[in-house]
Amino acid sequence: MLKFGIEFVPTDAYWKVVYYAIQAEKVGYDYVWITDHFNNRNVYVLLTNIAIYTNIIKFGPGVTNPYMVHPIMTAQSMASLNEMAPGRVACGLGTGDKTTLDMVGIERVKPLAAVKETVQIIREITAGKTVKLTGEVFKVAGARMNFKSISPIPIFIGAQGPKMLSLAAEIGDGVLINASNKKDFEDAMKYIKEGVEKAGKRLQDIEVVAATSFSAHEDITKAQKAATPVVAFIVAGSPESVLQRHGIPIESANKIREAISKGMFKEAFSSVTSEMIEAFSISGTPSMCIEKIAELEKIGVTLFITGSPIGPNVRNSINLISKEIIPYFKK
Amino acid sequence: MDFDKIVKGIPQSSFEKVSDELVKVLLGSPNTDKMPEKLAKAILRHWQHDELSSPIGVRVLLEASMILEEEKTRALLQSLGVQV
Repeated sequence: MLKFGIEFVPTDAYWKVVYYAIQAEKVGYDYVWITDHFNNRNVYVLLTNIAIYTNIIKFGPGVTNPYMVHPIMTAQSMASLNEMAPGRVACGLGTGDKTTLDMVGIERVKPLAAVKETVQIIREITAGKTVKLTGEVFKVAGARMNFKSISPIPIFIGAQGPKMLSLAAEIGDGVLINASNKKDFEDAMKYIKEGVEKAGKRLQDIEVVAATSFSAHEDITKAQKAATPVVAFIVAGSPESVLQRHGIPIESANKIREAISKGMFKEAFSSVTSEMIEAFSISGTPSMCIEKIAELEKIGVTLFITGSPIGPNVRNSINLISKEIIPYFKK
Repeated sequence: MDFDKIVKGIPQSSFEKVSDELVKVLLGSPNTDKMPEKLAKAILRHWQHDELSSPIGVRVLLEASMILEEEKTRALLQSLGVQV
């Protein structure tokens, strides 16, 4: 049965995000993910509050990265959260958002090695082992925590390119794909299958996660209008190969990129086309969303995340999703 | 302001509606820095335990709403026929 997750970007006060997380638990979501960027509220402060104010929903950073936060500290945070909410914690891990890392002056060196070493460090140290590692990115000279995680913490790896998708499937408990269109998932599944085969696992041993840009409303125009700013940023950050896959002209993407870089958001958003919304979001009426989610489930997605913006009004959209979308898949 | 008195003046049948509208005001408010720590925690605790439509839940929502959005809250209460 398809699982559902919800992702929040903590740009707003902590109590609003926690309010929505409680709401998500009440209406039947399985996971809540909080993004991890230095310029928003701290992810672990949010997750600690979610641990306190919820009872069954699983949660985690979605996703943290080993460049900004050393894996040892991530392991410590996750193990501490797992003590507060045993078995409800999952660690989303990626290579970070380039724009945010650039602001801090951090370079994304050897992303494949960084992720691989991070997974090793987190698994070993949360299991109570002493970590000694001379890796390509991290060197750990005998670190050990004074406590260990109550239970193993599943690690979901954010991936886009073929090598990272394959590695994520090989070493992760889940592969988290930041995309919304079936074309991206059809492509990704090839590499995910390669990865699980390499590890001698079965596809059903891992979660295949669709981290989508999502917007639901009874009125399609309102749903798409809410998705437009998010889509503009996705288009601006997409590599040429991804734009080509979706038939988006490079010139159109460049126009949006340029406008965003100059802070001309109105112009950037007005340049977003319906093709871009179709390619980079799932937005529309509940029945339209159901159709697209079902396509992803058929391709192999096992956990569907409704990510930003969720809808024109977050609270109303969570209620709409819970009444009209989730029950369709949980029958 | 005597919040207990205001809450006592709300008919039992209107609690859910009043609670829903107050939550709407709070979540839509940009004045998040005005939210007192104690009230934020109380709202989350009552929400977790399905008590936001109870007299105590409505009371904390009302108190917070009056701090963050006094005009909107007064107008809302008036439209719902609640005496302030």
